[in-house]
Amino acid sequence: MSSSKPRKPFPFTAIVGQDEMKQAILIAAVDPSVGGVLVFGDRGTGKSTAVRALAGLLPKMSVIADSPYNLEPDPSVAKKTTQKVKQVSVPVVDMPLGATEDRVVGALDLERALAHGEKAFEPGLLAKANRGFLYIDEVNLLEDHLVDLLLDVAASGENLVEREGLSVRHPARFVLVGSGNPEEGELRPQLLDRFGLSVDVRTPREMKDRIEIIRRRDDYEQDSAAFCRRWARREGAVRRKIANARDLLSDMQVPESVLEVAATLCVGLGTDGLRGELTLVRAARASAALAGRSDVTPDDVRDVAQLALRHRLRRDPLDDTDASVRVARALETLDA
Amino acid sequence: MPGLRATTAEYAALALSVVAAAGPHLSGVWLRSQAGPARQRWLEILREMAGPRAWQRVPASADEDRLLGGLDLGATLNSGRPVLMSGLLAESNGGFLELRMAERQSPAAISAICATIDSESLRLERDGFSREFTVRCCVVACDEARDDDDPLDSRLADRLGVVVNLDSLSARAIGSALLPVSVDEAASLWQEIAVDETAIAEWQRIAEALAIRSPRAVLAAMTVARVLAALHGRDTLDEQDVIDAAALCLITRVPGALEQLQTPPQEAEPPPEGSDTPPDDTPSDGEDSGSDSAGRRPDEVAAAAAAVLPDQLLAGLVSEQSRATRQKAGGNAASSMEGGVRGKPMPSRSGLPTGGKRLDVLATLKTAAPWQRVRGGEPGRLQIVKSDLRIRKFTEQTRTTTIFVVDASGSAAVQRLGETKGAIELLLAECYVRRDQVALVAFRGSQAELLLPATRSLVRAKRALSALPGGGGTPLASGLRLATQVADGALKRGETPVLVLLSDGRGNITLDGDPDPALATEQALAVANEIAARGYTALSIDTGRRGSARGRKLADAMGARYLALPFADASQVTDAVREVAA
Repeated sequence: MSSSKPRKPFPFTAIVGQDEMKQAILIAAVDPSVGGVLVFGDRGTGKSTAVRALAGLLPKMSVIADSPYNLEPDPSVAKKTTQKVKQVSVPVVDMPLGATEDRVVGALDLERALAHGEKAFEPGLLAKANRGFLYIDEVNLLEDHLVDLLLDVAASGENLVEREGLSVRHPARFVLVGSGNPEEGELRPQLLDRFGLSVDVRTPREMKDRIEIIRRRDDYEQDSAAFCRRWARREGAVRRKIANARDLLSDMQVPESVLEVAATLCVGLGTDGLRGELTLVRAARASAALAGRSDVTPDDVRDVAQLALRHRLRRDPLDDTDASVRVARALETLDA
Repeated sequence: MPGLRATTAEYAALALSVVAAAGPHLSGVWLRSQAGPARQRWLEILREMAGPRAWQRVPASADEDRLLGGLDLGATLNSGRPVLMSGLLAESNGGFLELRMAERQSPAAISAICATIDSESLRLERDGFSREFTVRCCVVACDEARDDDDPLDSRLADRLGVVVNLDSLSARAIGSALLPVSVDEAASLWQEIAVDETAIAEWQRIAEALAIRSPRAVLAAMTVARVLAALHGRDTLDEQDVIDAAALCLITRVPGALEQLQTPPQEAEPPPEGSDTPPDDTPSDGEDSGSDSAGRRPDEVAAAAAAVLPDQLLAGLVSEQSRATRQKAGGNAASSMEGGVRGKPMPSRSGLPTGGKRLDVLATLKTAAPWQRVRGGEPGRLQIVKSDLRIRKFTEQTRTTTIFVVDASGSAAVQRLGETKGAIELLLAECYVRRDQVALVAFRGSQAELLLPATRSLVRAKRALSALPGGGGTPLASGLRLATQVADGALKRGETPVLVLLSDGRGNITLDGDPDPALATEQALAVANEIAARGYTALSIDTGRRGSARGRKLADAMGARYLALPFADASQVTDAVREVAA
């Protein structure tokens, strides 16, 4: 194991249990417009493992060759065949906590400025993440000014840089994925509902599962390449599932009954604004598509209600009822 | 006869061989020990054993630049082009990273180390550089935290596979307990050794008995057991390896647990033989020769661990965790105020040093450095333009701790107590909005009691409050005195204490617990004066049936704002607290 190349990430499908987390990530992969995933929970539950495994799962996308922003080929230009198109992996950009602002938003390209005296923009992580995923581990510990900046860009889908005499504007549409352990610090409430889906992960209680976790992890540590090969088939199956779901999604109609259930749930729980309903419906659609269906039903809404709503409930400081329990109750009243 | 080894020195020595043999395959060692000859000797031996492998030492004062890497100012100025200085973390690849005062390292440093351990690579996105380094290293975390210090960051602790406690050991004991084994030979053999399911299940049970939830500790035990077998020249695990791995990775994780298990309850002297079993709990075993791993009884070690561990130990562990939670909860957001010129430094940002903002000289130089050649500066003279300027802001903790002092005596009457509780709940909601901490002191009968030490968990506060019974005398002076002590503690932690007294002001029990209304009143006023002298912000809410002169006098003595509850509605109370605490 003395290879100098970074090893392949732990396969997504080899993560034991944590079905809710996996489902949330798959939903975001199928429909990026659900708006990000927040994974909060215990240490050692495979939070970052799952996100880092995502890169290997996503179907490739076509970009204009050498575009620093992963720009989509323009169909009208493509006919004239003047642009080179390339198939690349969807970027999953891992933002390290110590990243400085200039590397996040981009800055003047020093090498070129010094060598050739030209003012060139050196794109940052936001450019790299365009049309892909931006992952922040320990999002709850991120510097406030960076959080604000990310929220701003995530909301507008555009990164505007005004520094060192440069004025650059480029698309930065990405799915924000954050993870963290609530014991280390809470997330600012403003940040919470910017995430479309939220997942609580817990350490599995079953002895069988726990042993399996350790077994697989140890196998991976021993020989990661061989381990990944053993899981390649299952990874392929999930990749096809995502691609198929995306196809189904493009012409999926949302029936009135689904909208009604979503609205009733949101009203019952008193979530603020329309963002909750919108996410709920989108997530339900993606969930149906992942199941290989082209019709979305009220049951799909029920399935994703926890993911889409639990972090949007207004918190009552004196009520220690878990948000998940409150959503579950709302679902019960729906059935009654 | 397999069992726990008799002394902690043996485990400290065993850990040395294991860590040296496993090297970066083990993500880290948690060295719990005060600085001293024992720790120094331990580290010296490890360095010797580590041989030519990298060994980087991170002092507590190391900043992010040094740890992660960044722009090399000197080299950049010399060459006129940006030059990267690699950090200690990257340089530790293939060897060891010694973290001095690991418990004092910044959360950002800990995060970077944890991410590096997890992905075996270091991503650098700083100062215009975007690089990735392969880094596999074994972190040797020297943790000097004492009981009342902030504990080692739990994220890092979780990733440190082997735990060693050296505090009760002498330097010589460690050296003489070293095993005559070949570390180099073991290093090449251990990875081939298989671990069966029963061993994993056994460790898992011990982990559960010790309330260790993360799977990382058991994963480390697997590695350690293999290395141990290889160190003994075997190619299969035996029972002793399983127990030793449990001791090194799991039992030592709970402070004091190993010693508890090693020392039989009623015996003063430890068993003389090196590999003795703890009596009673591990029945002596005739059939098992030790080398047959299939013959091991899975419950053996777990039962031994669970049976000897006192309940308080687990309870203590849990409360230790919750303490850590409390201290770190809330992160850096709402509890601090930025822009000040004191406090914890924040990363530099571009801007002008106006309005009390301080120029960050180093960051400014770094920004200007790559441009010098283009700007045509003379050698020895830097050309700095406005856009180079970097300022440094600081965050200052302005956390407020609101201490509620509640009269639960008979004179406060039961229904009045109910109203008081209602008022406090309102105030608690207010505290939540401001992200204050709250503490709860109650007095009744003959003494005062700290119902709830400072916490941000309002749910706990509410629970403590609703469980509060009423009745008995009114030891007002004791209540105020205890509250003062709590306030002193808060001040020491750098928090701003605010006292909120809810009482009818009719103290009738003295500080010594005697019923003497005259003396009690006198003492209450005296303590109130002390509060005023300390300058603590206070609010006195008179819960008497009608406001009284006595209540007002007490409030005046405390220098507190006075409010009579019968005439104050909920919003008035809330407003008052808001004003006082703001």
